[in-house]
Amino acid sequence: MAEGAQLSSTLSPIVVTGGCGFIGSHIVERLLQSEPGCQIHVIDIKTSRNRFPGVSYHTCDISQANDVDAVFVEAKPKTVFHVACPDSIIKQPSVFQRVNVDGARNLLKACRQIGTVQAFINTSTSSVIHDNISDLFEADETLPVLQYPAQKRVYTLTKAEAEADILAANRESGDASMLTVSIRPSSTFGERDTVTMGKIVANARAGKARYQIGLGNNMYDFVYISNLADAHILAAQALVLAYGHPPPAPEMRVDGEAFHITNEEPVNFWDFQRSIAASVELPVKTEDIKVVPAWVAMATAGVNEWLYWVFTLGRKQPSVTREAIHLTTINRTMSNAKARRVLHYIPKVSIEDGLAKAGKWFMEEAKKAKVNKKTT
Amino acid sequence: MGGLKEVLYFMFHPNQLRAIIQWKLWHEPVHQRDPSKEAPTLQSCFKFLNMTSRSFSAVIQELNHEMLIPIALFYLVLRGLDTIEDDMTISASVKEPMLRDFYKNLKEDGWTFNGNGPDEKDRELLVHFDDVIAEMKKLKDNYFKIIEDITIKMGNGMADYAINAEFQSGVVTVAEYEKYCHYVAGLVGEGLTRLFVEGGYANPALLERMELTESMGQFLQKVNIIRDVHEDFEDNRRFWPKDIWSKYVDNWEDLFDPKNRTQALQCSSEMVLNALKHADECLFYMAGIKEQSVFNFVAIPQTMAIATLDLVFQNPKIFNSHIKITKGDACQLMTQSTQNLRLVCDVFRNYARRIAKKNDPRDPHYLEISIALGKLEQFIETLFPSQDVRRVKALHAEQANQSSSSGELWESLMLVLAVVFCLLLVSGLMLGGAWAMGARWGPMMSDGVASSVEEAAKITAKITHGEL
Repeated sequence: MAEGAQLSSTLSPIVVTGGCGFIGSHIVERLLQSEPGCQIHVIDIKTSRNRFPGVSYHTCDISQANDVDAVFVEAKPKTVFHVACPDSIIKQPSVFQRVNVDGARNLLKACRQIGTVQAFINTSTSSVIHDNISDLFEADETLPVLQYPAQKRVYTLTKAEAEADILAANRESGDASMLTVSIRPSSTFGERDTVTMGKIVANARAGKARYQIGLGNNMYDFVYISNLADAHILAAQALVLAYGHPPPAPEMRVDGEAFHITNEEPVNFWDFQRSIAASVELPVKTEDIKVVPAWVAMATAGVNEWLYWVFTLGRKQPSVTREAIHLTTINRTMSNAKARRVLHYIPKVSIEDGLAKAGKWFMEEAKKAKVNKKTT
Repeated sequence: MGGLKEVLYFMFHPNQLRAIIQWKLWHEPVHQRDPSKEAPTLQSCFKFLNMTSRSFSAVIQELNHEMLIPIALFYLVLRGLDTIEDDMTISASVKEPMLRDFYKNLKEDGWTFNGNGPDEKDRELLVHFDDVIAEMKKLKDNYFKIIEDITIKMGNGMADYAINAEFQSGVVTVAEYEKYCHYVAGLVGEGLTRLFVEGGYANPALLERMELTESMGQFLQKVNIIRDVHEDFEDNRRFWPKDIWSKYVDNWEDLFDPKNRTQALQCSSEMVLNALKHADECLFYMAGIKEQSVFNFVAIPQTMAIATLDLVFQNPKIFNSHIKITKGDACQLMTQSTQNLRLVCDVFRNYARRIAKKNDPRDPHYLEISIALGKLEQFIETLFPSQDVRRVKALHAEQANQSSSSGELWESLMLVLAVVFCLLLVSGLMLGGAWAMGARWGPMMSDGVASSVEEAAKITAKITHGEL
């Protein structure tokens, strides 16, 4: 049964946008493992990093419709993983709009034109249901996607708009048309992660892992990268299997749906940060933990924001805002139940094991950098 | 002198005193025994109950009238079995058949036993065991059968250990450790659950999820084994599995050597982690209890256990002394455990957080402990959600409505403009005044105000929004 299912659910040829980034490159890696010999085309704005042999790399900006079309004509993909996304930290609303919204529309248009695409898997973000103020406890997919003004982040608003467009494209011309799904990962970590783990490791190396804001009782959901890649591939296989058939019962449906993905191991936010420090052999001593009261941190950030506003007349914003501080003090846990039930997604690698692997990778990278320095 | 010491202690710990007074004054048992209506054999049984159990006799005697006698007798029968097993003056070859056949005595009128060694602390119970048998005879048949069944199982389990020479030198694997806990505690739980369900005081679904019952017993037993490690060491007994402690020290006695404190503490953390894994299932079990006196009976030992787990965690004292939770804490826990599941969950959560605070990032099990605590909090969250999805949705819908009504939008816009104007005016005046007095602030922009806070927050901003 499993054999048969695998044969009929081959995903190749595949397009992965953002396939040289953190999540994209792990999806490519898992695809090569699960379907050896599959054809993969990666679209990325910078294709010099995280490359794998046997994969075609296309340096291309997804906001340029013609370039996207050209790759699709060459690849004639059956499956599209849309992972590409600008760094959420840069504060340039126009870039978010161009890449997230226009980019997604260009991809959907290319899919319609080429007509070969059966499965479109969008990598969204769990922040589409979060206002960054309230606690989230076991949040599931029934929570509404927030619109302005409940949602204030431009990044998240553009991701939500793209997600809505992509899910609306599901079965848009009957049962024989493209199926789409949206994956909403909780905070992701792992090897090659320059965002979450990269920054925390850098922070630990700067000797700052011992700071904690607030009481430190808040819980977060994280997901290890290979598990997230598994979830993407499971969703793709489900879509390919469902392609060409009428929609199944609502509770078993994958197409047109969004899925929260976690490691099913909610963990104390600050413990996790200190565990990362320990994973690169920089553990914090219990007696060294320095607690900055939340209100002090908030007041400092408030003054900081005010000063920036006054001195740059609102043109620049500080990287540390009250919102960012607040996010370190709230609960943010999500329910993985739907993905487990419908996608049969089970996190194979525990947080503990994932952190050990990722920590090792960061240690080796640091060693390599040292050697490079010596040789040059 | 002892009295003076206590007075001083309570002067500096008024909360402890308050908890004790609160329990003594305000606790009203749900049910009370009425000794005047009891047969002399039953009165004798309660006398032995008081004699043999410090912690259980009080909670047993507050049970409802239907459960009171079966559970008291169940306790005494198992205590009788235990008294034979414990007695080192009886040889293994004599002991083994005695343990296996102990259940037969329950039907034998007038059976007593005076072959225990003179130092055996509960030998009186077996000398007068005929009183227990007389009362057992009056039990409803279904209750009798359950007690008999557990006596058979436990007798066989104890007999296996009595003839197993390897076990005498201590458990090796974690599986063996858990098997031991099953025989001494899990089986008791099994009997109790069956009695509760039989009496209609617990959800029959508990019988289909026996792993929940097992967790109740395992949790209590494991916590005791961790706490009593020094006492057992002095009595030449060892229950910590070799597969765990041998990762930290080469010989068992090295664990108690002050120069190996770090390793010993790491070893105890692994033991705590192993026990902690049962905590969520204990709460699940308690959700299946339907009557107050039974709830109190099962909840008190569990809250005491989680408090004890907090006490022993990262506590080097367990290796050189016998530690106990304070009397004040015990009274407070009893008050909180005799109300409802929600309060018991609060107790569990509070102690989980205290454990989290003591968790040492250098410990090899730091993250695993944190995740086990997370699992516990998550479970409490599913029992008593802090967030109601329907309310959140309604709230967002309302907000969306509000923003669409343009009149209000215009009003708030005017308000914002007015505030911005005032702010600009004030800051303009301040800055202009400062500039006029010679202040210049070019270089100030390059550096932030509080760099450490800034760093930490930068990371979060990336964690929460930087998934992609």
